[in-house]
Amino acid sequence: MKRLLLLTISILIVFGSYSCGIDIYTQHEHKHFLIPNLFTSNQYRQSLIATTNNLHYNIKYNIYNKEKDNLISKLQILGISKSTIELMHTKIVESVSIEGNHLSLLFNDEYDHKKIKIHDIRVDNFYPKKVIKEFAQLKQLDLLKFLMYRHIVLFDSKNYVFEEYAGRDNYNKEVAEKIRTHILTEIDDCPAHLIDDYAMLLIDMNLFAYNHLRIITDYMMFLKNNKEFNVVAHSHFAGATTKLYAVEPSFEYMEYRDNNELSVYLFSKLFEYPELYRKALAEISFVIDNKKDFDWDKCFSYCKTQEEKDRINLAKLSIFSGVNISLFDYFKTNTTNNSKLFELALIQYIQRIEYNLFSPLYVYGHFEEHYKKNSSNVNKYDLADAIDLKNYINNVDIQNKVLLHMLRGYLSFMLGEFKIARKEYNLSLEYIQSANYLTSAQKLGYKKQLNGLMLLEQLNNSYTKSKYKSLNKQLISFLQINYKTEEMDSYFELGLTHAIKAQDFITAFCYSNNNGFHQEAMLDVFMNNDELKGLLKIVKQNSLPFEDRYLKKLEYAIIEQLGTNHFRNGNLEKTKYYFDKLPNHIFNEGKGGNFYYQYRWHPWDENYYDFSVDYSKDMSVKQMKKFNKKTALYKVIELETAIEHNKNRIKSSALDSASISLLRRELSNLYFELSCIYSSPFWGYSRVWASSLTLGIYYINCAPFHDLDPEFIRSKLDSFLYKYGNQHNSIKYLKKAIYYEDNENVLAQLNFKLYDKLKDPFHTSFHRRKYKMRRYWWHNDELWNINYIETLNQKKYEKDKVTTGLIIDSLYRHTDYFNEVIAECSDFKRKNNKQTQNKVEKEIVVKKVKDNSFKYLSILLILIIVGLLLNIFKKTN
Amino acid sequence: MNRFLKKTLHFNLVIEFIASIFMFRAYSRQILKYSGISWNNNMIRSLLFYVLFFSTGCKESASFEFSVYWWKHKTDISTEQEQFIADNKIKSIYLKLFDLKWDAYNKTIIIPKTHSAIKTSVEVKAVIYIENDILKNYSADTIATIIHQQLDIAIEKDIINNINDLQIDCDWTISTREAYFELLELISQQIPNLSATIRLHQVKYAEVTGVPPIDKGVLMIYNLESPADTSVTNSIFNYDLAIQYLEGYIKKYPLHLDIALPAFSWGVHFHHGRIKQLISDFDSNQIDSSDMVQKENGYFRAKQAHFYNTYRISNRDEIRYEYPLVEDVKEMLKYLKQKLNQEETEVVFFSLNDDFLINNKKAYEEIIATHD
Repeated sequence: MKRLLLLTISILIVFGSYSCGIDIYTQHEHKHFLIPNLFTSNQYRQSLIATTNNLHYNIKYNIYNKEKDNLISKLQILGISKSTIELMHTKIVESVSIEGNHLSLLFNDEYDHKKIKIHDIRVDNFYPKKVIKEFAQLKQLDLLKFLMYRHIVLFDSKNYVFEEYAGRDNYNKEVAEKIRTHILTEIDDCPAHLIDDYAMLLIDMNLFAYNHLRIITDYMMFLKNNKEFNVVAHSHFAGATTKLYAVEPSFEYMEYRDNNELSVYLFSKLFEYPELYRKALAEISFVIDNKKDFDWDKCFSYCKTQEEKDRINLAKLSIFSGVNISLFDYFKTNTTNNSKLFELALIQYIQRIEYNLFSPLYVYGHFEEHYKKNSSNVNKYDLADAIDLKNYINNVDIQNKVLLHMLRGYLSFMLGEFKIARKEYNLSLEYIQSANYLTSAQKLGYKKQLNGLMLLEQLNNSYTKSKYKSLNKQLISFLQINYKTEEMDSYFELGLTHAIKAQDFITAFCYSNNNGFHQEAMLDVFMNNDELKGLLKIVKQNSLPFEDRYLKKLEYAIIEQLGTNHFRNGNLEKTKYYFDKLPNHIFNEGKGGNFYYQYRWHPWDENYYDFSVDYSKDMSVKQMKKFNKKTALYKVIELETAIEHNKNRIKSSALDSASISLLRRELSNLYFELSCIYSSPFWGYSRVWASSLTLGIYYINCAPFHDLDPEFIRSKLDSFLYKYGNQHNSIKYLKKAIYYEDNENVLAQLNFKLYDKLKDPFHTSFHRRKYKMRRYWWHNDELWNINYIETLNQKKYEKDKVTTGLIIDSLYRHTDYFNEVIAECSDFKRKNNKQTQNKVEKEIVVKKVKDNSFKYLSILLILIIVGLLLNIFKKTN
Repeated sequence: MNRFLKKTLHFNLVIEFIASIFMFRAYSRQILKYSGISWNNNMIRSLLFYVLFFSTGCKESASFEFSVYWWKHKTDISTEQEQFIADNKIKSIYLKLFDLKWDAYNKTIIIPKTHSAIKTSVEVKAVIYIENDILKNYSADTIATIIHQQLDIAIEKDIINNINDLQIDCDWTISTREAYFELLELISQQIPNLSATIRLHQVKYAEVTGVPPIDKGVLMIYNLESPADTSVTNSIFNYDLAIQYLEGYIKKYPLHLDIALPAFSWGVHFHHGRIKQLISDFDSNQIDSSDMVQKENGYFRAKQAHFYNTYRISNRDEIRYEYPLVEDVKEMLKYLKQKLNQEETEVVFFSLNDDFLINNKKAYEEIIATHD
């Protein structure tokens, strides 16, 4: 129950933070353990599979992204510089107009070019000399000329020159016609390989002008029979086929008039580009939506090959929500036994179950073997879909038995039937040996995927410690092979969660990445020094399994953490040992300014800046001094040494009272300095948080830490809050400074300073929220509301504050400092004095009563014990 | 509830009748006084009384004229629709010219619009729909400019003949009220007959939502509840619910109000228990029994994946068929006739492009004939 509560809260926080606009990563909301990229061919792979039922989400990759990618690749192959490539995708044309009989072109303000406006559209007018030279050297001036027109028509592949806020109607037809004339002339003169590209620009312009007739005629004229497939032109052509209504009966391409079925067929060709799958699917969906009596048979009649038919069937299957077996059946009946697209449909539907049924159960901690199907945690619709699919997939027969059994296994696993899953995975493995229809690379891919799924199953079963070690080793190997090329986040999270559950923080750190606050929490809160040293050893040996997932200078971070831990514990020697191991530059003032304390995304080879502390005893003025963590340490060591020295001198009996008084004054000053240094939180700050500690600390019981025992989390946090972010040291040394101070005016100052610190003995907002405004801690009471060291300390400080207040009021009221400064403080104004005094007196009385009752009880106990002893003594005698 | 309201209405009518007799007597006295005729002249007194009684009796309740909306970008009008216009002396067609929508992903405006004219003999008046997000992201000046540009384009394309009339449909909120009203003021500087749609809650809570700075509002008496709510049986039209918004408020509303009434149906499509879409023109008679079966609660449940027109219905999906009860529409008109304190009221049916109107032609014609 405890864990469930923790998990639920953590998830609520995740969603809460999302809703507040803060994107704090704790874990991925959806799990993807089926990674089709591992085992399917390049042509039909993961990226073309929608993981959601919702087809109406924003499509981030469209035909213009594809066009842009193609162009970048082309320019890169030619050896064009990065800056020039970037220029080719930057808006440089502000507007095009007609002046006289010429086109006039106004450049964008930000375009680094001598000319602002040109009337003669020529490459040497349009681009800077440097760019022209670059293309000239590569003998690609014709390409540059095309790029110039591309810049005029499309300025960055997604936005259009003529598409202003009010839409495309704004564009000037006269200008467009003029540009069209220019482009047509270029088509006549340009090298053959550029004709397609110019034609694409014509088609783009036709689209902007809603001239669907021209889209079709231009496409037919320039692109229809070309070998190279132009996605932009083809997509517009496919769209125009459904948009073109009014044409003369003599229209040459009447088949392309208002033909939604042909349009769907044409759009389905975009499936050849997996990255355009979603876009193509959205277009197909739109075209179908526009015709009530859409004729599927007519659509199929355009298909010349089985693969083309399969594409239409896949599209049909994909535009429905949920799992629809009747559509599968139709697809299966109308395809071959080895259809890759049918395989893809099966994979896609398994992924839908993974997304809709499995992920929510898994993320919310409800997934386990034989989980209750009628529980409210299980979505009845998604479960029904999964059962439908299971019944279907268990009866369907395809050539690829390896895939079939693997999918049957994974679906059984998602339904909580682990035993069947294991059996199916093993069958799949057996089939790999004899699968002639798979290449050796595909066989290897299937083995990898099966390995991953089997590990997932085993880690979701109960396991012993030794079994955990072995599984962990296997998972690391599995990830090491695949993590750089594939999306393996779900597997990383699997390893991370299980390592944390086992309190194996070194391994957990290996699985973690730099997102969220996992690494920070582990380094600063959960790991003890031995674990940090263990991790440091791995880092030094370059044995971290996934080297690019960590901080750049992780070694420094761990060393500094070790030093900081010792600093917090007061072990200055050890602190110095670790800080001295770090290069000096990371402590020095540098270009980052206040960078380390302000921003999160710093690399670890930057410097970090000083922090300021107030050295003034007088609260009405400030006297700031700057330290960094290392200089602070050195200063503390220096002060401690001087204190020790002075104390020894005081002990010597040879000193007269004046010298002792002087030494006492000196000691008071030294302690005061120490108090000042410890008055800032930054001496003990772990820079790994990079100023996000106050935010990150709230996520300490969220995923992936939610599987830890709350008591364990509490003890770790308790210890952390006690050692960092408070004024304990500062208060301790201030009290000593008071002890050695004899001047009443200075004592008034020091006591007033002490009073101020006791009023608010925290540095951090989370301490304040924890101890002063409990309502802000939204986590469960079980974890946060238990009395622990810091709470006890607070009670003590409360009493100390009252006592200090009383002392100031009674002993230093006559001092100048009291009258000039303290008297201004509302706590010490006359009318409140009585109340304060009464309160203090009451507290003292209560304490006395308590002390007296303790005394009486002790006496009674002693009498009983003595009586008993005497009795025993008598008996023995 | 319904019975109670009706009784209350009858009681009100009796009271109003008695009050009117006293009023007519007072008017008659005034007229006779100014014309110098003695009140004691029985014949003249009686004559004048009856003339006034019957003449003002005719103006006692609002007279209705009927129009229709066309809310589709495709403007192909069928013969049956043309016939409906002709047979029922439909005054105007309110054609939605364009929407101003906010594309949150690309952070830009999108303007889906009508590209061709409706071939009709009656007057076509322009309507535009504005999303609240547009008001949040653009200044009133910019929106007004866009609207005028688009109207000019529509005139150029002969979709409308002039911009003497314009109706703006916007479900403004408290946060967008200021911007919206500013926009209306700007537009009204160039459009003589500017009207705006008014939702029922904007009548009941007029003090909070504000009254738009225009001469005429069009009170939309449909889409009263959220279709996504599974506890609702008819989100399009519910007489009792509408009365709750109108009774005691409509008379006080400071604008002349025309009325928009529903003449459409839809199917509320639920996938996995959640609303997926609204299926316009849903007609339960078109359902193939092999595709869907009707449940006890009236919902239709899919037995297999199939297309309903262009809509994709998955296995186990459910559809709630909603349409206005014509009897309730009639009742509403009766009620409005009593309550609207204005001489002429235009009733606009939403919408001619919906099959429901033509499929229930007779019933709507009867309504029109009763109140024409």
